[in-house]
Amino acid sequence: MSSDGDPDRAEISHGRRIFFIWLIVAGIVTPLVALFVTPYLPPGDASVQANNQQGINAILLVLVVPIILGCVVYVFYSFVLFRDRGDGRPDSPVLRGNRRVTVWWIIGTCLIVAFVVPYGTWQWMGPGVGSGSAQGPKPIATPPGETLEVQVIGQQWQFTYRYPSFGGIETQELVIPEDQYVELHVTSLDVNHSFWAVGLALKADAVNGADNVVFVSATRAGEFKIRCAELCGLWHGEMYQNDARVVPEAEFQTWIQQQTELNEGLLAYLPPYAHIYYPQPFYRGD
Amino acid sequence: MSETASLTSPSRQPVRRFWRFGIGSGLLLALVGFILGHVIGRTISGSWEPADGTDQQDLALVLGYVFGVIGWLCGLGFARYPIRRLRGQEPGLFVDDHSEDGASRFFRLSTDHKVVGIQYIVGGLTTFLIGGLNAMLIRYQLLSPNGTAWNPNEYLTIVSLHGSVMVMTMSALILGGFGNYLVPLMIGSRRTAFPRIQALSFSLFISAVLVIMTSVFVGGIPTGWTGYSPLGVEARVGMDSYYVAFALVAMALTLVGIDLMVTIISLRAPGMSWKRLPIFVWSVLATTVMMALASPMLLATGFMGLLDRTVDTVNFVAPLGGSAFLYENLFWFFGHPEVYILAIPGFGIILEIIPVFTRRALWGYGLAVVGMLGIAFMSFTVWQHHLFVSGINSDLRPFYSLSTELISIPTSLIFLAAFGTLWKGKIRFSVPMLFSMAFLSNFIIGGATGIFLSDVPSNATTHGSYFVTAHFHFTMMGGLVFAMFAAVYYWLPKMTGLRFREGAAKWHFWTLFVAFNSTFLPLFVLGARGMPRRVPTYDPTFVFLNRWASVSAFCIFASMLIFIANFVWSQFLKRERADANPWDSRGLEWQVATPVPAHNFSEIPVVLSGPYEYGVPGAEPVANLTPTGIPDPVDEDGNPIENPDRTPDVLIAGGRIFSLSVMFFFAAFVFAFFYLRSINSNNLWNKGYLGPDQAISQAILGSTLVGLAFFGAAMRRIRKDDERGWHRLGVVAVVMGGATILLQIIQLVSLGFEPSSGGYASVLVGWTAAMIAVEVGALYWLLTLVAGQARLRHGTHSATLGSGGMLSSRAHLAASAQAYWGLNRLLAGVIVLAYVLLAVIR
Repeated sequence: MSSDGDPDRAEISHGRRIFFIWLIVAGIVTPLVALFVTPYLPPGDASVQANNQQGINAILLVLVVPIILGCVVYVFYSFVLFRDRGDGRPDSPVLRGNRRVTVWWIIGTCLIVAFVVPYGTWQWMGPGVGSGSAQGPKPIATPPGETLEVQVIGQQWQFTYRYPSFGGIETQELVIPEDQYVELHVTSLDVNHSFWAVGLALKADAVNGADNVVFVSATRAGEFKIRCAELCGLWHGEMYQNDARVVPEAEFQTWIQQQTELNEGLLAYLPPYAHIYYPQPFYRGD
Repeated sequence: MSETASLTSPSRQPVRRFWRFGIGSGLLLALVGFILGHVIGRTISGSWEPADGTDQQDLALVLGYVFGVIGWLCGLGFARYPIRRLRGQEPGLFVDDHSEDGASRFFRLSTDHKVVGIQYIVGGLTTFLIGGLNAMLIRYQLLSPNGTAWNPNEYLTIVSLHGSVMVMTMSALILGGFGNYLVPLMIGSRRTAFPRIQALSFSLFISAVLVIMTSVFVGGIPTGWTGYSPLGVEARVGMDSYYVAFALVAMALTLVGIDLMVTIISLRAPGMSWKRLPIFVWSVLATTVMMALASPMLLATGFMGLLDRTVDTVNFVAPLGGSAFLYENLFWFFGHPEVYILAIPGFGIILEIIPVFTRRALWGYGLAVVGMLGIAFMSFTVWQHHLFVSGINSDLRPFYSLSTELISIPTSLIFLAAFGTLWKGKIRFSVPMLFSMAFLSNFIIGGATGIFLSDVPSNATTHGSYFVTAHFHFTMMGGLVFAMFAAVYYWLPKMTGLRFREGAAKWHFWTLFVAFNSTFLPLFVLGARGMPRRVPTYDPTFVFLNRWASVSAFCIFASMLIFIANFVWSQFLKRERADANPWDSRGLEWQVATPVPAHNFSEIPVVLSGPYEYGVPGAEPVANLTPTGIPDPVDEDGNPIENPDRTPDVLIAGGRIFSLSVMFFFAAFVFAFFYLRSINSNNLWNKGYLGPDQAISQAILGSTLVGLAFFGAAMRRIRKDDERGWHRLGVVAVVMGGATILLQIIQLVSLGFEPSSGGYASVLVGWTAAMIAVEVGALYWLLTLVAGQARLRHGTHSATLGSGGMLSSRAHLAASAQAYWGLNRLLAGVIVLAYVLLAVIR
């Protein structure tokens, strides 16, 4: 317990003490979080985008934990040591502000902002190729080389998929090849939906009249889940698919062959592929 | 009541009448209005089929609601004032409501800011309870992954009601309740600037909640509180109640905002400089900026939605020329300031409370003020962070990411002020202080998780998931609701004069704090692992955390029962008088007697020092409550006569802010025009280059400009205090205003095309209808000016200055005309712009 004799010295020691407590607590907790929590952060590593997001989430979490801890340590320290002890003096000493603290506080916040925003922006514009976030009709971040186009058509209450480079066949299940960039064009026939490929870390609202592009490159074969993430009416909760698949390239070719054969008779009746999907008679553009 | 009794009674007894305005007559006329509107709607749309599954039609239901609300307001007595105004009479400010002290004054129109404050608090807590019960129903369903407690439509309606009622309640309750009650007391005023508007806002708010509750009888609301279109346009008739309710609440919030902003600007007591303004009042001021400017956007959005549903415009229907993004942009342009409407008053409350319980001057007062104003203004620049994955162009994403993150800087200043005030304080852990501390702890979690949401890559996973749900519950519930309880425990002893039971209050706090965190922390995990919002069923792997959250949520409810029990027990059953200043606070509101006298101050106090001078050696008392020792003069009813010089200021300031609100209202239509025009092809925007009849359009323009010129000439006379010819100029302006409205109605009726012919047709219909609605109001205002002037000229105007506290003289009329002149010019500008855009450019 510090003496109350010299207010200045007492103040300094409180500050130092809080700082060291914070340093110890944050010094222990933050590495623990970094080591044992961040590997399990969503969305995992099933795609380049998921991996990218997970890295960002990890960095943000490691950044945020010491900040929250700082607040908690400060508040608890105040609770214990700055409480009214009934020592006869009714009020606290007057302090109306502290220029140094204020300046450092603002600089600190600005530094956090100056790191978080450019870092996140660079990540989705650069290595993340959108980082799984939908980019609207004119994507800024595009992958190098060829992509496989797939159209995702939301309607109440299911998603349908089209493969324009294979004659525009339509399927009820999403199957994409491994290690290749897939360009998903998300749109809706009716109300707003949101295409959320949970494991692949993709999210793109499906909006009637809009073409919403999102890129993904899956890193390993397996199943992933699809959810609708925008309230779309009665059976919004049932608008999901648990067995969408990422398959090796060869298997994908086999699968698409089968689908083409299945679709053969149907293709004549389907409207021609367009980035924006309207059933007749509404066409956009003309 | 015998005559002798009324003579001997010190306060005047109200006259017993057959018809009394109050909640009973309000409900009666609301019912009559609803039926009337319904019949009119059915008649107009006679050939239209009723919506599926109900016997309702959109138009009949909407008109029923509108007329019902009008009936409700008339039944409460709101019609008396405009009618007297139209007859040129000067109604007294205090309408026989100070003559009674019983509980019945809370159930009728009252212009006493304290009565309205209590109405808001009790009404708001009641609707808060309703919203909370909805949350319990939600969590009950989610106990099981394939819950069958509610069918999907019931479930979504409950979700929508929970969100809507809570958002409405929390935006109205703090400013309407604590703001209305406390701001005049804190700044040394007897009233707010516009007491009738303040009363009107409460009646609108309550009617909004009632309207949205009735949606359960007409098919429910399937959209959640955001009401996204096209789902909102295609939904069943229950959706109409959503749009009507949000339009009503938008009006209420705008009015609260204008009223309190002008109060703070114009009605501060002598010595209450900006540097001495209590921090809660600063937070109210910052919030009113957002309320007065953002809420009109919501009104316009609701209006467009209703038109889409009733007269088949296609504002939000993409295949026909509208856009879902139009709705999303308009909604979130209101919606994000709204989020801060739900946060800043909380900051104000805790910063007001912390100095009292740490016994120290507020650390960094200026920083906190800058922080609040900074948040208020920056909140208008961030709305598209709700649309990161929506499918609009992504070019502006870095900007919205940056602006969102930048808000953390002013927010952190508020935290710094709170932390600085704790520093070496003498903290007393009374219940309000506990809630304030919990606010800090909860809000830091809400704020920190906001970093993930503002980051474009992380947003891709967290958007639309339970992560978002958890995030905004930490800021709104962990933030504002905790601040609200801090305020209730802190100020209710002043408002009711009764103490709370401290032990039960502490139980309420600890159970709420633990149960709250236990409910919402797991939701972060659920969202990040892939559980979307607003689903009645979910992946069975999430069952444990969902059950955990549900049980914790029931504990929140149990905790609220402790509060209710404590409230009922201490306020009604076992009443213990509270001291006038139980917390030993320096706030001006604590210096007046408990219960607060009818007109707050017998004389207007002179403020001598700031409200947080704890421990300052030789600090002056906060105010001299009796600067002259002679109470201010009162009229025959015992109502003090206000300082008449203030009234013109108030009117002019109010008029300016109102004009700004109207500008933001029309900005929605201008935005709709350019947005739909730019994203649509010609065929969808305006196939065949349709347009209104050019002759009528030019006539509208002409009558507007002539009316403007004539009123301008009238204004010059008014400024020169020259009354000759004034009334003739005014009458011409009235005629021209009437002609404009008539021509616009003719234009709408005689359109050669359907409202559904494309984006252009929709904007034309919506914009013109909105102009007609606003112009009718403006014309009424103009008529009151002319009528008042006529009375003045004929000398029949009540000559007594301030009968009932309001200035009834030429100066008042001149100020009213001045305020009207601002609106008149703005409306003329809107009409000119409408001509250029709708009739020329198209």
